[in-house]
Amino acid sequence: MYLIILSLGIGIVIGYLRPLSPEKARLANAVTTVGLFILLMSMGAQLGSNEDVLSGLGRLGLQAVVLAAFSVLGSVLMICLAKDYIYKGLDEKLGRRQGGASQ
Amino acid sequence: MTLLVLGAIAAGALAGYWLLPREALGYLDTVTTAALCLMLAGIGVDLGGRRETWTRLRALGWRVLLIPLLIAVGSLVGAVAGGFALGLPVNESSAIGAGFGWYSLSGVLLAKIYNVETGALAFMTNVSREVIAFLLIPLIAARLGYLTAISPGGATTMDTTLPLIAKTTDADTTIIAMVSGTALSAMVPLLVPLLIRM
Repeated sequence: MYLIILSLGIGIVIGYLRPLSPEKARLANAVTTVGLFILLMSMGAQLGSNEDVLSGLGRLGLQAVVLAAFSVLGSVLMICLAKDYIYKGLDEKLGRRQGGASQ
Repeated sequence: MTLLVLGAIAAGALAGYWLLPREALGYLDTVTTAALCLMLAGIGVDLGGRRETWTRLRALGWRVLLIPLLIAVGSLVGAVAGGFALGLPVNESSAIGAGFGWYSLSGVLLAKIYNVETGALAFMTNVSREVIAFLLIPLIAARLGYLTAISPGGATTMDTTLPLIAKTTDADTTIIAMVSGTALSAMVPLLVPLLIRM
C-alpha cells in the first residue's frame, strides 16, 4: 500500500517538476509498458494455475457485465442530475452567457 | 494494444497451466512487486507531466472537478449496488468499480495485492465498461447532453474514448473530458488499494 502511493507520488513529482523530453517520455512509457506486461503475465500465470478461477470465468464474465453496467448507470445519473449546476459555473468561465465578462 | 494485453495474459495463463510448478509462483512476488513500482512511477510521471491539462483545470475553475468527483461517486455506488445484487462484499465491488474503466491497472493491482479472482473480475468489469462507453457515448451525446456523454467513459476519457467524445460533442466538452479522465486516472491507483482494504 505504502509502496504503491510512494511509487506513484515519486513519479508525479518527477513528472511535474521536470516535464520529460520526447525521448525520455518514450523511455518512461516503455518502463510503464514493461511493468504492465510483467504484471499481466503474472496475473495470467496465477489464473492458469488456479483451476477454480479458470472454471469460473463464465460466471465472472456475467458478474463483470453487471458491475460495469451499474457503474456506468451510476455515473450517468450523477452527471445528468448535476449538469445544470455545473454548466452554470462553467458558462461564466467559458464566457457564454456573460459574453466573457467574468474574465 | 488490446490484443497485446490479451496475449500477455494468455501467455501467462498457458505458462501457469502447463509450465510453472505451483511453488515457483511464490518467487514471482519480488519480480511483480518491482514491476508494480516501476509501472506506477511511470504512470505518475505521465500524469504529473500533463501540465497543460492541469493548467486548463485551473482556467475552467474548480467546479469542473465536480464532474470526475460525481463520476467517481456514481461508479462506486453503482458498483456496490451491482455487487450487492451479485452477493459480492462491499470492499471487492467498490474496489472493482474504482477502476473507472482502466482495466489493465485495476486488474493487475487487485491480482497482485488481493487475489487473482478479484483481479480477473476487475479486468473484465473495466473492459466491459470501456466497451459500454464506446456504445453509449454517441447515444448519450445526442439525447442527454454533451456533459453527460463524458460520464460512462470514466478514466478512459483521457485517452481511448477521447476521440469518440471529440467527434460526438464539441471542443469545450472534449477539454473537460480530458481533465475529468486525467483526474479519475489519478484516483485509480489510490482508491483501488484503499477500498479493497476496507
